[in-house]
Amino acid sequence: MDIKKLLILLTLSAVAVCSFAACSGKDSEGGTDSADAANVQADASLSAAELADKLFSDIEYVDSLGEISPEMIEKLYGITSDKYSSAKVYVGGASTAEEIACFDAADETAAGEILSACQARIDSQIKAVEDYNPDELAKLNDPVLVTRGNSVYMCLSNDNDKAKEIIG
Amino acid sequence: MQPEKVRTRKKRLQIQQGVISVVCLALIVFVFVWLINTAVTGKKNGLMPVFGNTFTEKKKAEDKPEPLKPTTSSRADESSSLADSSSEDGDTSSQSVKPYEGAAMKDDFSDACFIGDSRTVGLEMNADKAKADFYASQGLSIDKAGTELVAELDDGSLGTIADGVAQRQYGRIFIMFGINELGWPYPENFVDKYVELINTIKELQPNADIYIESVLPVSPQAAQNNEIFTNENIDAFNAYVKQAADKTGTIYLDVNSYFKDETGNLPDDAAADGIHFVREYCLEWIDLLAYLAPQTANG
Repeated sequence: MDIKKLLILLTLSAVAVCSFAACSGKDSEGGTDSADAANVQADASLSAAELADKLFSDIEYVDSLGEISPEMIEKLYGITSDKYSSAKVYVGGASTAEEIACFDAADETAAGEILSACQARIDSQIKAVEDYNPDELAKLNDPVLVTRGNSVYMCLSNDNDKAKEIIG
Repeated sequence: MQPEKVRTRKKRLQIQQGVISVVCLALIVFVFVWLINTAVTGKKNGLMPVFGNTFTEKKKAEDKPEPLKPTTSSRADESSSLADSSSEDGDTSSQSVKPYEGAAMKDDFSDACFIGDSRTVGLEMNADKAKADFYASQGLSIDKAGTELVAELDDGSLGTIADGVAQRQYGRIFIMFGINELGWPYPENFVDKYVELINTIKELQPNADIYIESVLPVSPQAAQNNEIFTNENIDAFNAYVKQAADKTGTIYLDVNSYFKDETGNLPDDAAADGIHFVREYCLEWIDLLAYLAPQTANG
């Protein structure tokens, strides 16, 4: 009987360890498994940062995109960190206009400001590439720029359908 | 019958308990093997806990040597020594730890401004130096550098590079032009225009160290889009860049040779289009600048 109790205790411990591992094992590489694939359509519980990761991992980009710091978000977009609770921005190396910017704004007013900032970023990129790299105008003239509640999502890629599907 | 029934039930119960025990033991063994495996390979596979911001920076090199300190007074010697050291490093750069790796981690470049074309735009977006000023634009060439409104001024308006530079005093100014001028039939014109721009900046910034960066190399992919983009052309053109630096008494920084692989090209993975550095290489570029041109008393 004692052995049985011990075994039950050990089993429970093992299950607890597995549960912890499952909770902390967030895939930073953005790889998808079958469960992820079933959830391509973003659910409302995803934070802006998580959605940005999904847009990053599930869409094929020509350039190699990299995440930038909050300080650089402020520099490039003029959006200070007090305007959002969650945000993530990916930029390329200037060979394309590919870019991802997702924000959960602090409130409705901030959401409006962030939307304007994203639009301003698109306008400035149009100016930057129109003579130098006009092929990029297609994605800038038809950007995926979506607001949902107080969240703002922008995705500049060659696959708008996929971006819209992910944002939902 | 009754005792036999009880015995059968007891036997069944024992079998059930045995099965459960085996399953439990198997599960325990699995968990412990998994834990050991995670401890051994977890870091490599990204399974270790991540603390703080997910934003990543390049790892600081433990054995970073004293940075080279180019000076305006001995710029010719210094530039050749920089070139020499880069050649030495270049032989093993792709395999070994680069001496400048991580140099930018302690340098926020708050005393610096960067002037240039789309490659400098890429550096601005990816080098994570929010405190530095960048006066750069895609497609900008030296003949338009004096007139084009590429600088976002403090009052929100747009101005020329000179307008931007005039806003404050800098310790270091990094300038790179040349990739958009490779096809010019008369490179001497490039030198004249470059000298003009550098002299304008020198007048505005008498105390700043002004660094003229050589044109960075390209990967073979760049020539597929335009045959002018070859490293032979860039190497030849860098002689004119150096001329401009020499004529103005500024410091020529041979950043080019640091990014060439054993074939003499920019590695294929360094730029999606063969020209514009991806983030990883922009971080290496800013490390190199921090190493070759560290912040001085001017800053």
